[in-house]
Amino acid sequence: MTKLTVRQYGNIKLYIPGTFSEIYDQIGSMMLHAPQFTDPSGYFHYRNIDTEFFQLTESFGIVRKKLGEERYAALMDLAVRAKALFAADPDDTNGKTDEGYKLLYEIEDLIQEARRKRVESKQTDDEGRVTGD
Amino acid sequence: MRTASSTRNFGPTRPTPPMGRGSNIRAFEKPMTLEQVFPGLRDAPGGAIVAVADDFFDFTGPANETQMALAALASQRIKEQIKQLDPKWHYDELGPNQTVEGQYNKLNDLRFHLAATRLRVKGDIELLQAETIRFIQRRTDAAYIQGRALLRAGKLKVRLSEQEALGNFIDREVRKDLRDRFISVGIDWSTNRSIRVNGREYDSSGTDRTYRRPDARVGRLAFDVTLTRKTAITPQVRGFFGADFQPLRVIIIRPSQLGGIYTYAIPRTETKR
Repeated sequence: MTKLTVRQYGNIKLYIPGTFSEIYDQIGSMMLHAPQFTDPSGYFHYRNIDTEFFQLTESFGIVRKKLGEERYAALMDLAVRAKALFAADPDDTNGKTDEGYKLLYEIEDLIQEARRKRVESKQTDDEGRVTGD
Repeated sequence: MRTASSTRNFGPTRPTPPMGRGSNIRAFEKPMTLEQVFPGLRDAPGGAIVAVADDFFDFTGPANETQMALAALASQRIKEQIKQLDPKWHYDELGPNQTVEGQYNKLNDLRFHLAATRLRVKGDIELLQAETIRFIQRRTDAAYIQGRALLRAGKLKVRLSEQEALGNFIDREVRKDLRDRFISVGIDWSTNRSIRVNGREYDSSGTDRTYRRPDARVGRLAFDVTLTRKTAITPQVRGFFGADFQPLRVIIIRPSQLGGIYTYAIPRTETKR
């Protein structure tokens, strides 16, 4: 099983997704909370655009080998651009949030593509199964 | 026991007795066993649908200063309980909680801490099971509202159908939240194999080893977050029951906005493996 990665962020400990399927979940959650990425319920009072993109980009680092350098670089670039777009449209009023969504979908597509390729080439995950992770 | 065939919305009603201070504070402190979460669960036959208790998810009574004070008192008591279990335990306060909602959030947060501490110190997982149900339900409800709003705004991509897209986003949100939640109370599912989020649960009873992925597992409970009603004969649910960890119950969690018996437990039917 993949060892958990927890990173300190300010005074909180953030879990870093460690597999493609966990990154896929992270992206889905981000889509629900763009452009501010806060949690109005208060359960996750610390969440904001910085914490969510930190989790995302750190997760790319964890699966970097599986991604390959080219895809890793593309993902990092997309994440930086997406974050800037969301930050520039916190109230979802000037259209940049919609542009940010497109980039999140591009990120998702790249992750899914990497999963597919691992399945096609029959590469196994940490439990010895061909799952794309 | 309320089951799928019971008249949940049409049964006789009794006037609610006036709640004194004592009963109110008890409402905040309910020690939630699975039997309390799903009344009648203990005696329910395998495969039955046992509905969640109506009052499980929300604190009752009007949001006012009294409620706030009671919530604060309940929080204090839970902190003391945790300290008794683990004198070194330290709590980082949530953000400002000068509102009733803030107090409730803190109370819920502390309940999860208590559940995690009981597991860590005493090996007792039942409270964590109950708190996990509560947590998943709240996150599912919130994601359902948010997902529908985003679908209406055209922001979520629809591949097969809106229903499928909505269900997919809710699943992803809940799983991410659950991982963050477990980590926040020090639960490491890579070392504690009885707690997992979207982990592979193998069935090695046949010639080919197969697996299923419940959205979560806590002890011998499997959790499935879904928009669709599922029963003991749904292949996915049967698959969960067939897993090597032999879940005693499968917990189906659906958005409460769907009404009716939205969330329920399905007890295990003993089958020959």
